[in-house]
Amino acid sequence: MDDLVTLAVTPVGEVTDDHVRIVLEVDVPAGVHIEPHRPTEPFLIPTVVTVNGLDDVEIIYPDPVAKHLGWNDVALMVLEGPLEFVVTGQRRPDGEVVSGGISYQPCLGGACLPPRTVTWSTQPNPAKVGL
Amino acid sequence: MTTPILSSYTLGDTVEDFVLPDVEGNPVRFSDVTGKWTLVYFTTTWCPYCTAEAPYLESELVAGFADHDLKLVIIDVKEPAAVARMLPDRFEWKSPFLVDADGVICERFAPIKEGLAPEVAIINAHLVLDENRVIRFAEYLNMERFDVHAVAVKAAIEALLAEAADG
Repeated sequence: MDDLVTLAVTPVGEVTDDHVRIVLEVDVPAGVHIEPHRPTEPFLIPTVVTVNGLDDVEIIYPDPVAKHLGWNDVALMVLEGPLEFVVTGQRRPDGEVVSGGISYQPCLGGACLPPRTVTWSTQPNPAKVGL
Repeated sequence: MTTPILSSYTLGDTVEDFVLPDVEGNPVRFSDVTGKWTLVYFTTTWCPYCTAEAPYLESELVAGFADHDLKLVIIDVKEPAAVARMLPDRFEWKSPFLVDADGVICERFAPIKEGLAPEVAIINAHLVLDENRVIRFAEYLNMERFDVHAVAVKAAIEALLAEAADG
């Protein structure tokens, strides 16, 4: 079961001057959803991206989609399918490698599973220019 | 009501007595904390549905049956006491709170749900036992019909009490 709900993360990073932009391509397995960074209900466990190796970090979380579960009057906003989390920040003088994690709670149709964290790491390449 | 399939116990079975520690490590014998009726509730700190229901569990659901000697026994599943104690602290539960850190006891109660480990399948389960510790009602988490006020559990307890009164 763990393999079925473990997120596959592919970080794609590029650097312009000292500005780093990393796209975390994430695939949520079919039949599984995770909570957005700001869940619909306060008791739901948010998805959180952490970043090491950058300063002035900003994270853009993907837009959730509405999912109707029988118990809630309003649709829950969840994350499903292929997702992109965008991380930007300033590279540190000694920082070649940027790493981090995505903490989330996978939920299936009938149950939520224990929260977990997947890690990611990338060495951003210089951005291509003039194309 | 459909009859749930339990991996070990099924409706009508008598729950064997057991001992689990509370959050302080003190051993608690299950039969010492049951009542004429007992609601057994399984939870963890990471179960969002449990957290949603938690504020109403004792103050609303169980308090409504105070005149019928309904006891609540809460069992935290597969977490160390140091983690589990967050729940009774946060929700100010007064009922017995037992810590099944290795999940051995919860496996006896867990329904068979394909692909789910027992400690996941049992989360947010409500079981009602009579004074002989016979399982008279069991409901497991279904996100499609989840209700923070556990209306179906309340209705089941009312039905059992009515049945007992008719005797």
